[in-house]
Amino acid sequence: MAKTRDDHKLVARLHTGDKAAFEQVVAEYGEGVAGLVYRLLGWSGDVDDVTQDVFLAVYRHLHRFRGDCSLKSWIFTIAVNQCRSARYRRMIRFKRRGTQPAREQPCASTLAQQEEVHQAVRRAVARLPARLREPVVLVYLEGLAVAEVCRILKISTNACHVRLSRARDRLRKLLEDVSVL
Amino acid sequence: MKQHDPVLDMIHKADAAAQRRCVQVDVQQIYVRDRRVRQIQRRLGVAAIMVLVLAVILSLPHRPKPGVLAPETPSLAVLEAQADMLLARADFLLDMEVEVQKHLDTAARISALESKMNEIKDPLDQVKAEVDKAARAMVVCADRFRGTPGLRREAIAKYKRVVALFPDNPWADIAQKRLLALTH
Repeated sequence: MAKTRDDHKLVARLHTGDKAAFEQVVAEYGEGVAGLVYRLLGWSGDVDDVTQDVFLAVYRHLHRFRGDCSLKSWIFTIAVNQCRSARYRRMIRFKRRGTQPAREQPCASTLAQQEEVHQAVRRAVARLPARLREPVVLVYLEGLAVAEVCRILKISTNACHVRLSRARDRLRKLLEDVSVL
Repeated sequence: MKQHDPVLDMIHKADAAAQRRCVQVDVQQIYVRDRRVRQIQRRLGVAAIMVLVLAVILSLPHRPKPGVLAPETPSLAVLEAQADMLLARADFLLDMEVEVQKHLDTAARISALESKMNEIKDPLDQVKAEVDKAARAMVVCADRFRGTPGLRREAIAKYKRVVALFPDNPWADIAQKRLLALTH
């Protein structure tokens, strides 16, 4: 509650054009947004650029923040949308070039077995479609509450649970071979 | 329940093992990009309006009055010249806006400095507070002397000193009262 009140004060300061308030927002949420972006982009990609884009969008569209959710949820919603755009741009770029996105390739001779497993798991999560990957990252890796995730992704609680369940099933199938390792 | 799912455990471990470098968000770059985007949007808006105006002008039906010679239709060169003029005017207005924005920024900075100046405490008040503190300390000291057997004289001297040094202070009135109580 106190956090929400602080957010409202911060937003009120931002609406008055207080640049120090924006810098405070960046300092407070920069690390969290970068982490989310890194995970949503599949532990690779231009995290710096996308994070910068997220905060540019926050700065430009701050007047649209109505305060009916926490500032963190609002910023995370923007981050999710920016990541979708970034992945789409990346896909278009690779399609145009006719090559596949560079993925971390396991190399048994140089990497430890454990690291190989981790890479396989990360690849499996990155291969999930966006509608399954986003709830997984937000709920299991970012540790957000389901209600908050529903607000960010604009889906119902039921849909969120269904997606999480499907994602777990899909991952279980994808990681069957890895589990044997 | 979620914690015991081996798939989730694997995801957590894989995420923890991913080495993420520190990301620095450049706020100044955000401001610069924001300004650039706004400028482009303004230019696009002006261009769109001009295109619209030109389209309206070109689509107007040409109806010469009966018996009056038709006025010469504006040639493409004239329209281009008009468009150039409008563009030059738009650029001038944009420059003006930038100047006004600069002035507004300066005014905002000045008002911020003024509010900071208002926050600075009056040194006279601080001095008064210090004097008040000193008088109070002396009265407290004299009170201690008064309460100690054999130090009555010192207490009287202290009270007198307070009255002499801080005649306008409320502590001088207190010292005066205690002095009267001691001497009578």
